[in-house]
Amino acid sequence: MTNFQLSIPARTLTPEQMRAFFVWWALLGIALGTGLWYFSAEIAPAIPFFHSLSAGLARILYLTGVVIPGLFYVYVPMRLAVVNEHGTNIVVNQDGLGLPPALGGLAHMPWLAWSDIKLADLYIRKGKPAAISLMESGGKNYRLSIKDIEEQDVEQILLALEAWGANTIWTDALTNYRDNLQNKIRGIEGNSNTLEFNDELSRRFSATNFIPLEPGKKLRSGTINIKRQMAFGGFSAVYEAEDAPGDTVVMKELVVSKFDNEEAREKVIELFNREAELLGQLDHPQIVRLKDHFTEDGRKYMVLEHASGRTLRELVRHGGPLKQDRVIQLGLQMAGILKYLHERVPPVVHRDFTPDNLVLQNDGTIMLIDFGAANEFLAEATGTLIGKQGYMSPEQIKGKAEPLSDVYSLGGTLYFMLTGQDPEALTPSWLESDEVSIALRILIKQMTELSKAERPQSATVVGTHLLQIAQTVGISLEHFANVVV
Amino acid sequence: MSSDPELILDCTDSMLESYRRYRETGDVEDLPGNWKNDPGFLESLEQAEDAGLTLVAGYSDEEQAKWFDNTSSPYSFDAVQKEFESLLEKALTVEPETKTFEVRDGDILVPLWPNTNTFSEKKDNYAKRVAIGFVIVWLGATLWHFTQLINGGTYYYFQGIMAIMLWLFALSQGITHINFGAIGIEFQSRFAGNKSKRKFIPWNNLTDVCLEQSASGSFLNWSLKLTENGGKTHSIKLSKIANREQWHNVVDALNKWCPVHCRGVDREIFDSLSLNRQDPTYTALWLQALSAPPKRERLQPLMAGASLQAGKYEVTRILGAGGQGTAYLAKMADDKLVVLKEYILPVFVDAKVRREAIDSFKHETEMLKRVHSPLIVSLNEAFFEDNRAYLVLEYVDGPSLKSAVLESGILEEKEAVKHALKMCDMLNHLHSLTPAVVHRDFTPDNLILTSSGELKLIDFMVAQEGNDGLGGMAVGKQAFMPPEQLRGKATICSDLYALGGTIFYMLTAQYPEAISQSRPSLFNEKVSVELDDIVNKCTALDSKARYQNAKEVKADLEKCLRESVSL
Repeated sequence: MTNFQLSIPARTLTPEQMRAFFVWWALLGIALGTGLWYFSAEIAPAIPFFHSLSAGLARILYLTGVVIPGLFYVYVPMRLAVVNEHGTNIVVNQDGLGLPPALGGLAHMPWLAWSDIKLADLYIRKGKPAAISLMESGGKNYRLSIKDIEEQDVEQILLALEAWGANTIWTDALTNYRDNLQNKIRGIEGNSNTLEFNDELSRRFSATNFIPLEPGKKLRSGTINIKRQMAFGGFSAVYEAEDAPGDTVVMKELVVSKFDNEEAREKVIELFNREAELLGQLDHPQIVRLKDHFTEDGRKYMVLEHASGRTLRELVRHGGPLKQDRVIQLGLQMAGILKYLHERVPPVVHRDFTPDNLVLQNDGTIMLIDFGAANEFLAEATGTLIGKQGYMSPEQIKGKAEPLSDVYSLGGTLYFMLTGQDPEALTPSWLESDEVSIALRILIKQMTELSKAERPQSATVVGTHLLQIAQTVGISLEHFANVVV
Repeated sequence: MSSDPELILDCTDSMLESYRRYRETGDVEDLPGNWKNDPGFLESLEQAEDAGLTLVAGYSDEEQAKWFDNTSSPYSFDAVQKEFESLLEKALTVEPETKTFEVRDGDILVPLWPNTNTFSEKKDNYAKRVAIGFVIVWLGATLWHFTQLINGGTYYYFQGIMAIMLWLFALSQGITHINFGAIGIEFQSRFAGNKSKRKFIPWNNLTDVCLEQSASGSFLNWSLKLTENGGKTHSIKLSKIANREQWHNVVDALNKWCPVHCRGVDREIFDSLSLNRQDPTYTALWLQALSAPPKRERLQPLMAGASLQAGKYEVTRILGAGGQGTAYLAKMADDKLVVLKEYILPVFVDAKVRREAIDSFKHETEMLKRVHSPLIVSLNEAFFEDNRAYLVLEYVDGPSLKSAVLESGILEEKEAVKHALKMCDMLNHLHSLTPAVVHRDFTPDNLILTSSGELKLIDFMVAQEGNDGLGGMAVGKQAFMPPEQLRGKATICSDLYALGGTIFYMLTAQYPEAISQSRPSLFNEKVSVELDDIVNKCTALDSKARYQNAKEVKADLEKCLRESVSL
């Protein structure tokens, strides 16, 4: 692809428009000409001013007032015709960009070298993107109208600009436009409405070993319809799907066929089955329910209830850190969930109690949507761990997770809600803030102590502390129903 | 005729005479011009005579005169001059060509922006129609004037307008093409099938050709300056040529017909002047990946026998599958084996995610290119096909260190140390680059042990550029990640921690415990105290308590080796 050259047809004037222009221009010319002639022949001699002019002066006046404008008047349509004749293509190659004249313009714009384009912006007219504005190093601005160019071609131009315009600065408006355009061309909904941040997207979507299911794919003999990809990475993926029209579910997928190591594959299948069984046995209004699990095409699936609402991560990222009373209320709910899990026989350790796995539903209650057991083994099996180390206690990193590890994660989650920042790994979390009571801050620090002995010894204890803090701070707890302490 | 051997010269009698006179008196005045300026020739004549050769003139003056005077001879002065003049005339006359025109064989025609076509396509020709329209009006006005319908000023007004307009119009065309021919450079104005010559510079008239920088410094405002005999200059702005292909044509033409005067004008100027040009292969790849349509052809992994890149690579079997993708063994045309590392690029996700995936692939290719070394797997090529990206890597014949130890058990200390020394070399190489490369995944899985005992490092997916620990998210294998890497702040010392962990693995066949300082002697009694201490120091939790670079580790390992030999 060393000789990249694109020629993109862009509309200038159509033949009909040209014809129309010439006709009107000619008519106007005749009108003006007649008027001028009439003026010079009949009216002017009558006016004393003109009469008094010498012959030479009159001639000069005639020249400047009539002849020269006349020449110009005639020149314009000729030039226009020539320019249109030259072709109305946008030329894109490795070295630069050649723009045709703007609609009806008289001259082509000079060739722009990529290295000369300093700034690229989106020009919006009447609320809709109308042109790409390019500022070259001399300060001049050129506009490339995109209304009349095919979307694919606009994408090509933007890609070429991105590839070869190493010095060009893009405005956010143009970047978003480009992303939305690329999504649109491919029929992807994209995240334009949820304004997701780049690093968040990379957390949810990382490299996979397999090809994730395409939207529209049907599973389980056509009873499940995949709507979109929510997350994927390594050997697993999460999809939003429908198992009956209008009934949204979440599908967790594990691609076991991709494990080349027999031992690892068996282990992971065992863990997956165990997780499914466990989830099946749990019965708590704030823990997502397992509707079904099955294997298809070498991949294992769990069909989970869909929690409508936003994850705590989204909530905090878009709305900012939460106020202390909110955090205490939500913290109490979370403590309640953990209490339930830890009091099972044998105790269930969640292992992934993070803001990404907790959804705040529309009625104000928290829902736990994911179970980390298989995830953690997967991380070990595939080897690489991405992200959430801030929420993992040292013993969990060492592979010896226990209920106190969940307490650590809960501490980290509370810290996140109050600050909007992920806690730092292997460090007790302490926040400085006048708006948060010292007691709460101390509690969070204790919960995230590296040594197990120094943490509150159970979720129940955490709940008790939270209630005490709530009372001292003066929060009413009537809205919360589910805390059993 | 003497019996001496003769040397017949291509000259007249009188020329030879003047030479003889020169030999006697040293008088150079009468010598023919070309002999006067060529002392080497005179010397060779002298040598010839001294050697005994007799110099003989090839023809007499009369004979020569006959040639020049005989106008019927094709070599006569008149004849030659006439021919030249007629050629020049031909070159200078305008030949109105219609619709299609052929470029004379050997000529190079360069269109200037905004004409991107060499041949002006005949479209709906408004200019001609408009011109014809005005001509009709002009004729009409003349007619009316004769029939006294309009008179005086109005008529002259029309006359003037038409004349001036047509002239202006012709002038305003501007130069649209440059034709480089055997005779010279012709600046043409082509329009709607008509060609008019504007300027003509014969090659002999050209005294200088060079590139002139522009005031604004903007690259395409540089101009190609042609200087004529007499000082007149013509400039062609590079932005008018606008295209490296046309530029090559220009330079080729210049080289073909006027090599002597070309100064500082070379083909690669477009490349060298364009700033920050990225590697074109990878740019093309990236462009291809980003603009690919969402439809996937293949949904299943590649099977044995599958071919990629139109048969360039044929898949033999799957080598392994990791969390980021599958590795295949493939065969090339000459039976050369390579490894294809496949990355699946997500399709149905937001453009930002797609870009991210493609960028991280690009990052790995760039890393591999940068870290080129015999200790590290080398990258042959990278390509993109069917929404998947592939790295073509050299085939390293052997199992990973992890599999090797699992198969054959714990390594002997000497062997482990030898491997460890090579690992130090690898890390040293990476860390001494500018900017330094922190691998972040230096584990037994990523080290291949060849049958000849060589170690090679593979997989740069999570390698980080720069030692300032701003790698962002924490990535890697838990057992080999020191605390600062878990916090997302990996540095060179983090790789040393992993090195310690890898040595531990070689000696114990187990992964070390995560985030803890390890001592292999607790699991393997045969480990010497020195080696034990080395591993311990490498895996100190505080990065400042560890070795500070791979060279230090190597020094201690060498000491250890010497000690074990002496035992």
